[in-house]
Amino acid sequence: MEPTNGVPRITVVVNGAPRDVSDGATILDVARLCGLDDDERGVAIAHGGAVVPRAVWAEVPVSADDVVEVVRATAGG
Amino acid sequence: MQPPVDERHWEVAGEHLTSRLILGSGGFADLPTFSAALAASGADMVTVAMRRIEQAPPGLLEAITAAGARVLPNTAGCYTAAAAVTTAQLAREALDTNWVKLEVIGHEQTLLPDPIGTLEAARTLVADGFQVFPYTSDDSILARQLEEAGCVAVMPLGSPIGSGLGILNPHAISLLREAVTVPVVLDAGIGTASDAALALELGCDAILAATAISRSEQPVEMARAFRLAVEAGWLAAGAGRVPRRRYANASTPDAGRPDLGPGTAA
Repeated sequence: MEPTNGVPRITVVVNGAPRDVSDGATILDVARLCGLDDDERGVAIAHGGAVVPRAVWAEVPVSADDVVEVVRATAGG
Repeated sequence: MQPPVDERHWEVAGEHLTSRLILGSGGFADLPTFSAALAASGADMVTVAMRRIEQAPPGLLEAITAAGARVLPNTAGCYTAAAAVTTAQLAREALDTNWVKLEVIGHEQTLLPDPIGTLEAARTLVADGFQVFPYTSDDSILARQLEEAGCVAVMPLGSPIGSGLGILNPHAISLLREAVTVPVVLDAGIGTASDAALALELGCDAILAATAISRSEQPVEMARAFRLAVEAGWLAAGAGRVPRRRYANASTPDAGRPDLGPGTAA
């Protein structure tokens, strides 16, 4: 991606759709991009097919083309 | 001091549950209907699924918690052991529980379980510290293997998910009940309250119902019917049914019949 306002951007795939985030963004940034509250219960995130514990969301960076799945407990079963 | 334990209650994975009805949360028209049905059902455990947030409106978890029920996340929609394992791990992270209703589906039209994938995923999840409740066929050999793999219960189907066909092979469920020592939870296919009662009469410890309640014409009334049915079935199982007979067996004694004409005196 072209830099925007001087900050390089990358594209990651979040829940199947391409999303534009700043280079150096973390899983926490992706969670906020999706509208999750920082203390919301019942949600979890997989990054590259592996679960990222909430405690380390702020420490795990995403790279270009990474696949991120953001899920919530919902009706079923 | 602990409250007295009601003998109608049951235990699974070391936890005490007050209802032998597990409510599936899928299929309700809206959240208020779900909450009313949950209250009417008396269930203290509710299944939930994990879905992308765009397709998963918030609020369900809060409704379950407000009712004092615990959640049993499922791996519905997983067609491989690997997908089911990752889904279980997502649920553990999201819900802070190591309980999981394991579903590894083998066919999209019948939604019948993949027995090989289910056993494989069960072994992986048990090794990862999960308390596994596998959705399985009514095969008692597989049920025993799932128990040996460390599953805390087995959940045989009565008939295909959402079919409402009831318990198509009661004999197989009865054999399965004898084959394992862990709790047996009849899952899938239940169509109405009498099916739930039958499951308990066959020796199942509990049942799981979703569609039969949520997609009935009056879900809250049906939830109450199920509450009564599981209790009736459990009581009947404990009371011991009479043997089946080929011919009639009068309960009124012949002795003492009055003479009211030819052929009537005892």
